[in-house]
Amino acid sequence: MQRRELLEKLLDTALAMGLLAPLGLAVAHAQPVSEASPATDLETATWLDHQLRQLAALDSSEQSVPMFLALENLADGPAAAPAAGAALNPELLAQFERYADLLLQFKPNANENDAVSLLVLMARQGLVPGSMEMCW
Amino acid sequence: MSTPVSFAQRRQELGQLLARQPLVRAINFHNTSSWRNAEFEQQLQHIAQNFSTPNQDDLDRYLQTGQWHKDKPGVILAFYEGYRSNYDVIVPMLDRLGLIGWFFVITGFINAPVEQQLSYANRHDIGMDLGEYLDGRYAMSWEELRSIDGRHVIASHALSHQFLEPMDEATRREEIIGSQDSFRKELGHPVKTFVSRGGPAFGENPAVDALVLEAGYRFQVSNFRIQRLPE
Repeated sequence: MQRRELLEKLLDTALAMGLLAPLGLAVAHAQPVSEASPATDLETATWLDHQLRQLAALDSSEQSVPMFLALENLADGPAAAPAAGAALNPELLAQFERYADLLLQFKPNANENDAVSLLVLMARQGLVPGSMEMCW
Repeated sequence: MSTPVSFAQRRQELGQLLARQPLVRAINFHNTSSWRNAEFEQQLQHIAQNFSTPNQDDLDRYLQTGQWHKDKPGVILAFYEGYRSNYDVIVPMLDRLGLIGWFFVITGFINAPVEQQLSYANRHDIGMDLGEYLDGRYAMSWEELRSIDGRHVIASHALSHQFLEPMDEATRREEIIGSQDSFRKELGHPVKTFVSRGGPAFGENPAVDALVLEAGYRFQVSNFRIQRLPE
């Protein structure tokens, strides 16, 4: 069975079990979802769904919102140039792409804000005790 | 007020940033009400233990050398609008923990007379925890800003928290250069960093870019970037 087919089967099972639901509908979690990054695709999809709901409920005028910012040097002089031919942040890039693929599985009509939310979630992970992940 | 894009387009843009640019985390705050004191304290203690908080000189050095000179990764603590609660609640924590905050100030909010600050906030989409300050002063004062200047980063969030793109030239000039003029007058020097509402990046609007350079800003912060600007 191809990986994609397996994932679709897992997601179908999860939907049938009520573990996932289209955004906008309530999802009941029997156990609190861990803040730490999960491992399997099913766990990750469940985690993403939960985290995106939490993020949507956040009051950004009163609560902090983390983000990654790219540093660019537009001034003259030597810049912190990325290595040619290689991703500068390969693990983060891989994680982002994985999250984006999974998100589209349970939210095919995802919009640009959802893409930004994925980055917010990734930035947040490193700020939660026990899930440190370094940049720079 | 940027042009809407699709998930795929935004995904591609963010993926390219992750692939090609060095990154720094930022944590964006707005109003910091005192009833969330314990939450902020816990968060900032974690930052102090695990991260360093750069100022503009640190970013300058990194962008010129490509070498991060601190022993912990950087995170920018960004406080938007110029709320009095930032000064009352957050600044004492930052100082006690040895952290640097970046305060992006809407100069029109700071300059508004106390009795008009609430209505100013309502008219300029500045979220407010009503009732927190019974004396009606919801913005930081210039005296408070002067007291943290240098120890923390004070930056421009323009004059009045409006989207710059649809403005006429004169209004846009007042937003970008007029804001810098207030800093010159009240702090005695220009500030180095600018961010406008909606966070468009340098390079997205030539008319805005020209005014940002004319005002003498050296960094521009936007939704996904910090740019060291051409001199």
